[in-house]
Amino acid sequence: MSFLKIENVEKNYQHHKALDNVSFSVDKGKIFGLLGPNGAGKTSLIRIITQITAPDSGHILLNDKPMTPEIVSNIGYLPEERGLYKKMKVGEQALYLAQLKGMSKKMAMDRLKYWFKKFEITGWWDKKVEELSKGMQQKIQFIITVLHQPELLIFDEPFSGFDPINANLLKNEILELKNNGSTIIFSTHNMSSVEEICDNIALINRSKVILEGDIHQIKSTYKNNRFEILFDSTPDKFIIAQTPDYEINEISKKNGHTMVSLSLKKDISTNQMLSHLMHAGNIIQFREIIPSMNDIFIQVVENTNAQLAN
Amino acid sequence: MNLHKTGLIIAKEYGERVKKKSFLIMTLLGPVLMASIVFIPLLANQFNKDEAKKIIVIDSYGNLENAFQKSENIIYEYSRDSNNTDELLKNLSESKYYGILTINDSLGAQNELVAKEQVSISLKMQIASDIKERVRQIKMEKIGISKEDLDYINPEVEVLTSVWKEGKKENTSAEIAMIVGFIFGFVIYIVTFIYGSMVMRSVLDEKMSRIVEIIISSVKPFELMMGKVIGVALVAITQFTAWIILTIAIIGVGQNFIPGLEEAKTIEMQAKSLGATAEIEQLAQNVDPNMLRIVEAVNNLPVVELIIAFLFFFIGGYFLYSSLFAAIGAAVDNETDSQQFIFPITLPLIIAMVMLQAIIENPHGRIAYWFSIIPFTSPIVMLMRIPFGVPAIDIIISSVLLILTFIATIWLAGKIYRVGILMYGKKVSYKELWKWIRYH
Repeated sequence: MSFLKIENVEKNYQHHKALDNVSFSVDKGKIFGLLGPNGAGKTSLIRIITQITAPDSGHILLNDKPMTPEIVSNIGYLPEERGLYKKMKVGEQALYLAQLKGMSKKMAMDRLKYWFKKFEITGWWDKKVEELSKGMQQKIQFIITVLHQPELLIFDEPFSGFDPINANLLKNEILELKNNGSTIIFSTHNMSSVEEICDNIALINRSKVILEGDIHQIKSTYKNNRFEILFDSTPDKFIIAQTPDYEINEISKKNGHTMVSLSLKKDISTNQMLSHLMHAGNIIQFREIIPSMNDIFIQVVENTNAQLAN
Repeated sequence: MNLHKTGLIIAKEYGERVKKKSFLIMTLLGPVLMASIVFIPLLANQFNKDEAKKIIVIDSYGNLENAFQKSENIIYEYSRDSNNTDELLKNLSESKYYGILTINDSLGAQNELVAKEQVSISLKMQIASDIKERVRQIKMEKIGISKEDLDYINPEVEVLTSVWKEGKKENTSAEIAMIVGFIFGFVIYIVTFIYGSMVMRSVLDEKMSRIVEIIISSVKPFELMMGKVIGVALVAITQFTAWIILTIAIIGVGQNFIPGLEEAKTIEMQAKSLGATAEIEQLAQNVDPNMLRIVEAVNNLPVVELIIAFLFFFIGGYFLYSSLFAAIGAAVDNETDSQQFIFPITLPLIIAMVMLQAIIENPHGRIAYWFSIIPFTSPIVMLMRIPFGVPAIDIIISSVLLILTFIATIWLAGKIYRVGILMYGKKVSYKELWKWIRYH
């Protein structure tokens, strides 16, 4: 079921088109990766979803209804460029920001206590923000983002500035939020985190959506029938080469084993391939090479850039 | 506009400022400074009156006896005997005399004053004028002009001012109107500057720390801007209220130290309630007439009108300028870049202050009129004019124009603010700002 629908959104700045007919939808309870190189239009789109700016044309529907100012209180947004009042105390500040999101003081207080305990930062309550490290401030910002339990969460580069331990903590929190039913938009160019946590993605390049869909489907679309077969010793190279079913890309030796990497021709099944290769030696491992999101990202972005250049 | 959220922002902006130590210090110090503007000249006058100096005059010619009358500062002792001059001189340091004045000429053209210390210029001039006065009298008599003739030639001139109001004379003082007008105009000028730039710095601070990115996802930029502008306005109003109360208290205590003021006030009050009876006229004889006039002039100031006008024109001027300051804070990336925009918007304020002389000299003239109508200068100039009495129609025109203008500037500033707070690393130009205004 689609929770958030982006329909034909256009946004122009002077001399510059930020979003060109952007459409996609985000399913309820899923983590949606909004990907793209710097300056592709991700932040522009997020600002339209959060109603900070308005699109020139197009619609944003939440639960099939047009967005209203009240809905914003149902969105939690962690911007990429984020800060806090340096001179203000942590607790006081968190309380203030929570109230701005429409929470009552008491409710905000109760939930803040819960989160401060969970993140083991209760002792920071009366500290001034300027006394905290950047990572510590990020934790506070994360708490403020999720505190009002919004249905839609938008994280823009959430892991930047986090050390691996805190990044992991944050990742687990995001997954937990998803399990609790939140829908999450996750904007990044850190592809490994995308593979770890995203269900669906949209890739934006030069103001346009150039790739969209389920992450596993995309990966299987972009796999190109490449396989790696590992022999326990040196196989018979003559036999390996004696078939038109595939093209050999590389044969390499490693710890007494031999790795053969090849591209299978269309309509040839892996069993056919294996039954031929079995005669060359003893196979101990066999796997299909699936491109990483990083590879797909680079490939797709470079392709569209090349097309536009022509 | 979401009033609840705007209210939260107002409360935060207000609370964080009034809790600051600097606010407390300024609140306490302000009235002391203001009261000292009033009291220092009065007190200085008091302190300057030292003990009268005794001067012995040795006049062997004996023509100037009547020249040396006792005055507040000098007590003369006149002697024709010049034989013991040397003796006196020798013992001067220990003697009761401040100095010895020797007349070396039959009509006082050449004189010499030997004193314990370097004499002040005012003392020297006073002695010279005393001698001159007497010599002139002697010479006049010689050519047959009597003292009466002399008084006839040298009349005393005084111009008392009053205003014809509702069929009777009301004593006023151009000097007091000037002082009050100046103080009010100046306070508006200073405060608009201080609080306007406070708004700007606060906006800039939110932008530079990027907290604005977080806030803007829950409130509209306009709400944030208005919350800040109103919050700071309330700080200013709190400060004024404290200032007014403290100033009244200080003046209330301080006036007991000004001689003659209490009596003058009592008489003025009785005169007001009972009318000018013979009894009061009698009492008034014992009071310094200048003091009486000052008290009357102060009492005749349009105080209520002034306070209402002050608050209205302050708020109007403040909204006008602080919203522009907020727009600057949003448009630039750091305080250095803000300078180029601050100058043009504060120019009208500065012009108003520069025109001060011309306005005070002729508060009903054309310059004063137009500057008190034009919204960018009216908060300062109108306040300068009001103590002199301004037609109601002028105040109404000026107020309406001020309200319309501040609504327009807030709207304009809101447009710039909205785009500016989320724009970094770009040196903005006026052309750029114009584009922002036209964004929808």
